[in-house]
Amino acid sequence: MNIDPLIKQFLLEWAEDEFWVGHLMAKKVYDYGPDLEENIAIGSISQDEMGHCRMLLRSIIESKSEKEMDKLMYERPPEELNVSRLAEYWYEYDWVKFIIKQLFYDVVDHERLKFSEKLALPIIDNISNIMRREESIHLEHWTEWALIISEDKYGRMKIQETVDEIYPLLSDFFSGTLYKEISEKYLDVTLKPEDLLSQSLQKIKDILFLLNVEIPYSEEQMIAKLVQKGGRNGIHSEGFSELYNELTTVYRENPEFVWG
Amino acid sequence: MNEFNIYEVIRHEQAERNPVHVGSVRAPNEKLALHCAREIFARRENCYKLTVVERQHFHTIEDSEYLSLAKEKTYRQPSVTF
Repeated sequence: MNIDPLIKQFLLEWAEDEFWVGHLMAKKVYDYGPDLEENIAIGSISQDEMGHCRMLLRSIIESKSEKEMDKLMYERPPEELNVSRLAEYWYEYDWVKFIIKQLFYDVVDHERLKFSEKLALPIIDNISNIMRREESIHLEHWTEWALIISEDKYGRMKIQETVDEIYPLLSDFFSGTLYKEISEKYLDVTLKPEDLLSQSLQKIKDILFLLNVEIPYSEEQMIAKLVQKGGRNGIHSEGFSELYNELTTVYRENPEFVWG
Repeated sequence: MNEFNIYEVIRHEQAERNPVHVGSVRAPNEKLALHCAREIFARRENCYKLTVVERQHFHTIEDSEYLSLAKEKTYRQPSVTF
């Protein structure tokens, strides 16, 4: 199985994002939602994300070995991880921050999925349908909660504060040259990171309009941020090392352990 | 924030079988009730259809005396003394 290194990098970054999103959701699941039902739903959605990570890793690991997957996720140092700043964003059990992060992530994740479908990659042909179905429900779920939170003045204020903080991370998601290089090689029309970012921003703009929340940066300002080096270059947010140490603790205790 | 409502969850396992009431969820609206119902009652078992109905829309009889007469209807049988 010879996978183009560009495609391998694209799928690995995708798997890393899903890994971090899923694991942060599952970190202390009972501390997020307003009731038990929602916490169960969050727990199940986090497992969907981890499952997507696993499917993506299987698509690029020739041996299909679980141990190889573990090594890729748990043994590389932070500077070798290309997880996006948005996926690694940690909300400290804050319900509004949690919802807005997930909402933004699922919008950009959907753009990435659409991009991958244009590439028509046989190695993920059988998994993209499952991912598309699940991610569209997740997006509907977070949107619905955001609408409910935005119904009162305090909720809207909290959403605005969170949007101001998280919105710039959308540029980091598409930064780097990977999308451009892949589309030049595989597509008739070159899709630049700014195109994918613009499409995502348009969707987020429509949602923020419904939430009656201001957009903190113009599209031009966001496109200008694409050159900043961040998660895709292994340069992570403050506090990432602490999270990384926490998430890899059990693995580091016994790296050779194999789940039965 | 919206008031939470109770929704009864009805699972239809296969098209040719009758739907079964499996429990209830609390949620702020129908859409989120369906999402929660799916994650709680249909994440480990496949099903054909999942329905939620707000509890207040159920029409019920709660007359225990009337409802407990089903097996004791000797008074309707002419040859039986009751």
